[in-house]
Amino acid sequence: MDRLRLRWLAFALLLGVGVPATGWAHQPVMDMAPRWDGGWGLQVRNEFRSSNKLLSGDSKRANPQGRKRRVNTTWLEGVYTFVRAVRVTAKIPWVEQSRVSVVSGSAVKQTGSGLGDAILGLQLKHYINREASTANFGLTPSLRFPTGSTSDAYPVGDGSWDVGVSASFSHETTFLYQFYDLSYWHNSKGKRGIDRGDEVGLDVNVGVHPYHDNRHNLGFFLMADLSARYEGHGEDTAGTTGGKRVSLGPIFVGYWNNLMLRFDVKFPVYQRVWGSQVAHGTEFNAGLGVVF
Amino acid sequence: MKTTMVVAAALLASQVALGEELPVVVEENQTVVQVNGMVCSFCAYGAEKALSDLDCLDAADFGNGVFVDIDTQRITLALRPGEKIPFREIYKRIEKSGYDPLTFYLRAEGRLERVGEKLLLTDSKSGQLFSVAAFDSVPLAAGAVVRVQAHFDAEQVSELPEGEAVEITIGRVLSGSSMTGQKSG
Repeated sequence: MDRLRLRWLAFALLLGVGVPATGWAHQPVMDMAPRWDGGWGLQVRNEFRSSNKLLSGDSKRANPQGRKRRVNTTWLEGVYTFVRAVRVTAKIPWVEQSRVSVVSGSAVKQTGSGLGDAILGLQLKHYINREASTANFGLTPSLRFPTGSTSDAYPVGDGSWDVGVSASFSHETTFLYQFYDLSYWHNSKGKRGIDRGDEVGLDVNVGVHPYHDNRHNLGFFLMADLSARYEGHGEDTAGTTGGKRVSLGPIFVGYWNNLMLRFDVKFPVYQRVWGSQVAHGTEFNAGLGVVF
Repeated sequence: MKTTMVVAAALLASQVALGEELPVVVEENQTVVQVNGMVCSFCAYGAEKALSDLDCLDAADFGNGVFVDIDTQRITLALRPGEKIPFREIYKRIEKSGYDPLTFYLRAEGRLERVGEKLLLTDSKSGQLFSVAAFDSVPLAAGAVVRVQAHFDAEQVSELPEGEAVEITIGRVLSGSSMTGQKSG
């Protein structure tokens, strides 16, 4: 699928939702908070993935040169709620990564570390409060800045200004929680030949809120996460990028007063890459958030 | 199969929870607000924070004078004895917290008085004035000295000037004399 068709598909899907909707996949803190006027929150979230599985299309192939990839990203995420319907979000990553790539026929270890590309989003939400439930539709245009350096052998930034938009819907009762987010990123051509393909993503979180204590404002959620990504054919400093993948995994979210703790794991259940690439790998996330 | 059963049980439990409607009981020196959409304590933190610095609250109760119950979607405010209830301010603070106040519940006691077309009840402890618009049970007559639990649609106070009498519906007569002169409570 070429980029143009991908863009049309994404916009058609967004229009298909038909209502103002929100967020992108990993919203700061949580989808529902802070929903109060003047509320703000911070979250530190660590995301780790590693793989030494070499794929060609969707098939595993021999990896005699030991190609592998390890990416550790620590996100500092912030959110400010002007009014119930309007929030601004910011995400700044610190990246530590390494890979073994094949350059001129030889395996070479490449590393990169530092501030990555920051993301600013404007969440527009429409809440529907009912007797025993609350729901919201959201629409979030986002901008990714080229704050990350492209000078390392394994660059932490891509040097391009990228724009994205996502549409979401969430619904919650005291016991059930569901969140759907459809996102699209248009990746512009960056520096050093980095030119990633556009991305379409779908995130679904469905789960339960099995325990809460009204007296101590304490509780937890257990959810299942389904993530699907389609990334158009692109290039970075080590070769071809892009492909499609689906991952599944559990999410735990605990809270106590204004503190929130989140763990999730994404196990890849399907992956197909363009050309030959190291697989995405299992992704581990841990976050600690606070709202005021 | 096991997963399907767990999901089905969860859905059933949720529906049962949705179907339950517990009667509202207002204790002495309290007011209760039924709030739409308040189903998660973490998300309701803002409402608790916004309400907890109201001057009329008794902070010794519930730790800060505010108790959020997501099971019933009700907020209970513990009041200092003799304080007037700032309904409009409470309404605004809950609304700015992302929720929609639905109904206020309160206790009042005093003598019912007929002023023109209106039946008025002035709370003897706080001096707060209420206009009695309706009765859920036996109507009461002017002159009766009563202690009642009442309620009113929260939307009413969104534009009501502070201090203006809210129109209440008397839900339960806790003690006092009815129109027929019989004692209750």
